[in-house]
Amino acid sequence: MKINDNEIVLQLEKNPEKGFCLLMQRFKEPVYWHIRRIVVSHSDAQDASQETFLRVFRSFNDLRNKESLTAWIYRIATNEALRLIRMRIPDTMSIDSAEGDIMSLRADEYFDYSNIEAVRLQKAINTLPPKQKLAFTLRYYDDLSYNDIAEVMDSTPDNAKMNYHIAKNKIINYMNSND
Amino acid sequence: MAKKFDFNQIGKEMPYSVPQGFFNELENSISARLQIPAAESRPKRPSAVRILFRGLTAAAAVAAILATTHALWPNRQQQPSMTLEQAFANLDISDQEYLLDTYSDVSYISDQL
Repeated sequence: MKINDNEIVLQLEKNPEKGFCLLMQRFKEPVYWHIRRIVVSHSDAQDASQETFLRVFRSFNDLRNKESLTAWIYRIATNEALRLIRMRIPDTMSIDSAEGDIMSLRADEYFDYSNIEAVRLQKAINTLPPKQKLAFTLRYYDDLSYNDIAEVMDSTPDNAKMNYHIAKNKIINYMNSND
Repeated sequence: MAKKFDFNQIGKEMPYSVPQGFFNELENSISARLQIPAAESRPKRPSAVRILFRGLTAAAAVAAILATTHALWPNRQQQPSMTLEQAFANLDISDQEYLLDTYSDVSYISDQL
């Protein structure tokens, strides 16, 4: 059963230890996978996940609208993942091209090349511009609402929706033209 | 005719995996890292009982030092002005270190040593 965000917030305020357990139970896997889709390599995703949760706990009191816990956590996770990518790429390379190239650069032993369709789909996702990629992965894999996606992206729900649909069409075109 | 891509067929499958037990380890390491600064940020404060115990122990130590020096130097009457500092200096290095370690936070002893 999915744990309610309100319950997690309540527990974090009342009993931080129990709140920590609930929050980890609810978010540790989705947050890791969200980061992993951005940074690709397992060890980078592990580092960024740790930093994300440390930041979440240390700055929990800064969360203004406690109802948007999910969006807030995904936003921190996204920022941590992008920060890590920036640290890894040379100054001469843009973050967009680094993300596009990332499949060939940062694959590791926890990457299953035998699943050809899944590999192609990730390659297609990695060809997208950052906002489209973010909107698509948050909607497709994490089932976030457009409101939450907009909060993560610091945008509007309409803009999040538009980015998602453009991304989806681009992926379909990529998958159909790269057989 | 070429097969068209269908999201429903691939679903949410990804070509990524994690080591066995990874998510439990992740939770444990975050939990451990969160406790480290919490422990460091709170300086240890000795309880009242401990302070009283330390005071009594320190007083006993002073008495022991004076008794020892009296026994070692029977002609102490010729040296009536032997101070605690001198008595301390006459102890073995290991005893000195022990006393410093044990009573360094008792002000009236540490001030004199």
